[in-house]
Amino acid sequence: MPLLKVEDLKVYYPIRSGFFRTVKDYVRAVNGISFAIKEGETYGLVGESGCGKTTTGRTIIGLNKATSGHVYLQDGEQQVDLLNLKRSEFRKYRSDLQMIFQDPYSSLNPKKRVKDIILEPLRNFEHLTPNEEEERIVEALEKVGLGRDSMYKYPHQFSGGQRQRIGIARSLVISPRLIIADEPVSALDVSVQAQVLNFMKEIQKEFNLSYLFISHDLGIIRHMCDRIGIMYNGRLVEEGTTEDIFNNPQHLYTKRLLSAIPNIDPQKRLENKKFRDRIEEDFKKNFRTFFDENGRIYDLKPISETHSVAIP
Amino acid sequence: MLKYTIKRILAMIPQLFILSILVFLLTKAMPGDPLSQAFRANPNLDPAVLAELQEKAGFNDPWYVQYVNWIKGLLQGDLGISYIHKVEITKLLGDRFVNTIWLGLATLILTYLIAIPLGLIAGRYQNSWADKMIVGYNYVSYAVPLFVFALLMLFIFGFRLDLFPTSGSVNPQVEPGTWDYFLSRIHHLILPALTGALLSTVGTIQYLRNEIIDTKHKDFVKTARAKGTSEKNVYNRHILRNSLLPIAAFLGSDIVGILGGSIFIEQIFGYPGIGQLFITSISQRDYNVVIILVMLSGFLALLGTLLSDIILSIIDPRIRIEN
Amino acid sequence: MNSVDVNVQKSETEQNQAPTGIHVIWRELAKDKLALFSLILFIGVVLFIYIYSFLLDQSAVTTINLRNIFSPPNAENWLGTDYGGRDVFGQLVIGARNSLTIGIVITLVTSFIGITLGVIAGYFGGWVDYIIMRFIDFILVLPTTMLIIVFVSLVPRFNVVNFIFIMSLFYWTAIARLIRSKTLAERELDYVSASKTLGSPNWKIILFQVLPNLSSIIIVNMTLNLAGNIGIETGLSYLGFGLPESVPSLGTLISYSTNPDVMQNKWWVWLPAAILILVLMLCINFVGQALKRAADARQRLG
Repeated sequence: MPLLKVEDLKVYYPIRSGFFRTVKDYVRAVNGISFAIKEGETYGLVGESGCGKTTTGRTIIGLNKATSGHVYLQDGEQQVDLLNLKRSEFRKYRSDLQMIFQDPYSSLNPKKRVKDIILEPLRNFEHLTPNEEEERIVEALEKVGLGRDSMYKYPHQFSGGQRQRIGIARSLVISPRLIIADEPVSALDVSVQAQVLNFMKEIQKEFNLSYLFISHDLGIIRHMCDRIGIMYNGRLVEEGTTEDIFNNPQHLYTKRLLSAIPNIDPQKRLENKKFRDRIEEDFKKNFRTFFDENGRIYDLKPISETHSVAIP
Repeated sequence: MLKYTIKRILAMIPQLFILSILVFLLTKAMPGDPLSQAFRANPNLDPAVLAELQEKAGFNDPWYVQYVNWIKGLLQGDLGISYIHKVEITKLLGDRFVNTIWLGLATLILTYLIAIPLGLIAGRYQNSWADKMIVGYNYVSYAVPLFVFALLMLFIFGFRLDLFPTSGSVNPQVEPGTWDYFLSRIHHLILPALTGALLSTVGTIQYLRNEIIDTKHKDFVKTARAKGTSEKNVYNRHILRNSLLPIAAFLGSDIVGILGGSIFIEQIFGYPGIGQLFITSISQRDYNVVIILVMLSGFLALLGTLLSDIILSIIDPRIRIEN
Repeated sequence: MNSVDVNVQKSETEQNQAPTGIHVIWRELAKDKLALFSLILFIGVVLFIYIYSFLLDQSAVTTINLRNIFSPPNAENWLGTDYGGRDVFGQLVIGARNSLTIGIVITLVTSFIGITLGVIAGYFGGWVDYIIMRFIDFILVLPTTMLIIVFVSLVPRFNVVNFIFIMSLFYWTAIARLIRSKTLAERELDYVSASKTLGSPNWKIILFQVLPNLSSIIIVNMTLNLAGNIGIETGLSYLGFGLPESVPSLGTLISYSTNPDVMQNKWWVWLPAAILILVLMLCINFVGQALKRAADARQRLG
C-alpha cells in the first residue's frame, strides 16, 4: 500500500465577470491527475511554470481547496481520504504531511526568533514542559547543523541556505512521514543548492521520509528522485522511474522538455542545436497523435511495469 | 466607458436609498416634533389645534407611510416645509445653496492654485530649502484642525488687521447687480475660501511631489535626457504630462472634503450657506430641513466620488476593465 | 570582564533584534530633532495637565463669581476669567485633560474595531471581506460630521459614553481599510501558509503571526488618529455638539469666541485653548510622521 495516493485530483478556479459576478468559465489549474508515493521514496513532479505542479502540492497539504478527487493517506491497514475529512479529523493527520517552501525569506516570520519558529508546531501538537521544549529545539537545530546559540536569533540574521534548514527543522520536530518540497532550492545560490539537497537526502534516510519533490529543474530532479511525473497544462503526460524518463522518454512533451537541458560541452554545440530543432519539428508534426482534437492530453496508459504515457 | 459610468450611477442608488431611510428614521427619533416646538413658543394656541395640525401633517402615520410620502414629494421636487421659518425648504435653500457652491468653488480654485505650483517645485527641486519649506507646510496643514485654523485666520485678518469682513456673504448696503456688489461678494469670500484651501492642499502637494520624484527616475525620462532633451523640456513634455493628469482624480475627494469642512467654515465666518443653515436648523429641531441637508450632502459626496472614479477610469483604463 | 568582551556582548544584543523593532523607532526619533522635541514637549504638557488637574479643586474652578467677570490675565488668574468670573487657566487644564482622555479612548475603541474587522476581512477574504468592505464603502460616503451632530442631538440622556460610542461608529473605517490591505499582502507570504501546515488555527495565525508584522503600521496610525480624533472632538464641542456641558472640553472654551466681543477684546478666554490644541496636534503629528518613516524602511533617515 502506498503512503500517499492521489486520485483524479482537480482544482478549478472560477472566472467571474459581468454585473452579478456570475461564473463564466474555469481556470483548470489541475485537471485530473493521479499518482502514488511509496514510503521512503522521492516522487518528482516536473513541468514548466504554470503547469499546476505547485497547486497540486498545496492542495494535497490542504492549502488550496480541491474541486474534486481524492488524496488517500495510509494509516496502518487502511487508507484515509484527506479531502473528505472533517476539520477535527484532519488534525490527526496534519503532522504527517509537512512542506518546505520555495522562498526561505518569506516562509519564516521575520518577527519571530528561531526558538519561537520551531516551537510553533511543538505547541500545536505536544504538551511539553519548558525544559523539554528547549531540549527538542536544540535537538532539531543540531540535526540541521545549527548551534544552540541560533535559538535567540531572528531569521534575517541567517543566510538563505541556513534559513531553509531552519524551515526543515521546523517541520521535522513533529516527525512527518511525507514532506512536500516545493522548489526547495530554486531561491538559493547554486553553491548552496547541493548542500541543502544532500542534507535532504540524509534526513530522508535517517527518518525514512517520503518526498513529493516539485521542481522545474531536471538536473535536480534526476539527482533527487526515484520516480518522476511530467506535468503539462494541469495533467500528467508521462510517469516512470528516473531511468524510464531520462533514458526512454515516450511523450512528445517529455522529449521536448529533456532537449531543453543545457549541455555545457562546447564541442557539441552544433549537434545540440540540430537535436533541439529536430525535436521541435517532431513536436509540430506529431502534435495530433499526442493530443486529442481539442488539444487535450489523453489519460495515462501503462507501457511497462513502471512506465506510463498519455497516448490515445 | 459609458457602460462603466452607468454601472457606477446604478450602484449609487442603493446607497442613497439606505442613507435616506437612515436619516429619515434618525430625525423621526428626535425628541419633540417641530410643531410642538413651535407650539411651546406660542402658549396661546389651543392644544386641540396642535393635535389637528399634527394629524394633518401626517405625524401620526406609521414611519414607512411618512417615508414613502416624503420620498414621493422629494422625487417631484417638493422638499417640504420648514416649520420654524414657515417657508418651503426650496426657498430656504436657494440662496444658501448658491452661496455654498460659490464658497466651494472658490476654495477649490485656490486649493489648486496653491497646491500645483508648490507640488511641482517640491518635486523638481527635491531636498532644496524650498522643498523643505513646502514639506513643512504640508505637515502643519495636515495637523492643524480646521476650526482652530479658521478662528485664528478670522481673529488675525478679520478682527486684528481688519482686512476682511467678519461675517456675511455680502455687504447689505450695496445694491445687488452692481459692480460694487460683486466686489463685496468676492471680499466676503476670500478669507473663508483661503482658510479652507490652505488646509486642503495636502493630498495634491504630496501626490505631485512623490509622483515627480518617481517619474524623474523612470527609464523614459532617462532616455529623454540621454537624447539631449533640455531639462526644461524634460519637465514640461515628459514629466508634467504624466504627473498632472491624475490630479483630476482628486477632484471628487476634494469636493467631499470641502463640503465636510463647510459646516465649520460657514459657522465661524458667519457665511450664510447650507452648513450654517444645518447648525441653526438642528438647534431649532427643524428636522424637515435637517433631513434635506443631510441628504443633499450625502448626494453631493456620492457625486464627488463618482466624478473621481469616472475621471480615474478615463485616465487609467485598467480600472474600467477590472470592474 | 574586559572591554573587548563588553563590545562583543553589545554587538550581539544589537544583532538579536527583530527588524523594525522598538530600537529602530527610537533611533529614527533620535535622529529627527523636531520629532524628539515634539515628543518631549508632548509628554511634558500631558504630565502637567494630568498632575495639575488632579491637584486642582474643580469646584473652585467652576464656581461662578460675578464680581470678577472677564478679568484680564493677572497674578491670581494667570489667564484671566470668563463671562462667569471663572478662572480660564483652570478650565484650560480641565478641558485639555478631558479632550486628551476622550481622544485616547476614541482612538483605542476605533482602532480595536478597525483592526479586528480589517484583519478578518483581509485574512479570510471571500464573502466576509465583501460584506465588510461594502459596509465600509457606505460609511465612507456618509456626511459624517452632519450625522454625528444629528446623533448627538437626538440621544435623550447624552453623556460622554454616548459621545464616544457615536464617534467610534464612524471613525473606524480608515484603519480597517488600511489593515485589510496590509493583511491581504501579508496573507500571501509563505509564513502564513507554513503556520497552517504546522497546525496553527486561524485565530492563532492572525493574533501571533500576522498582527506582530502589522504592529508598526498600527502604532503609526494610532498616533496620527489620536491627533485627528482630538481635533474632531474639540471641533464638535466648539459647535456645541461635542462633550456634554458637565465635561468641558478645549472646544468649549474656544466656543466662547462665537461672541465677537470675546473674540476681539477678551482673547485670553479662547486663544490659549486654541493654541494649546495647535501645539498638541503638531507635537503628535511630528512624532507620528517620524514613526511612519521608521516603519517604512525606504523612508528612514538612516
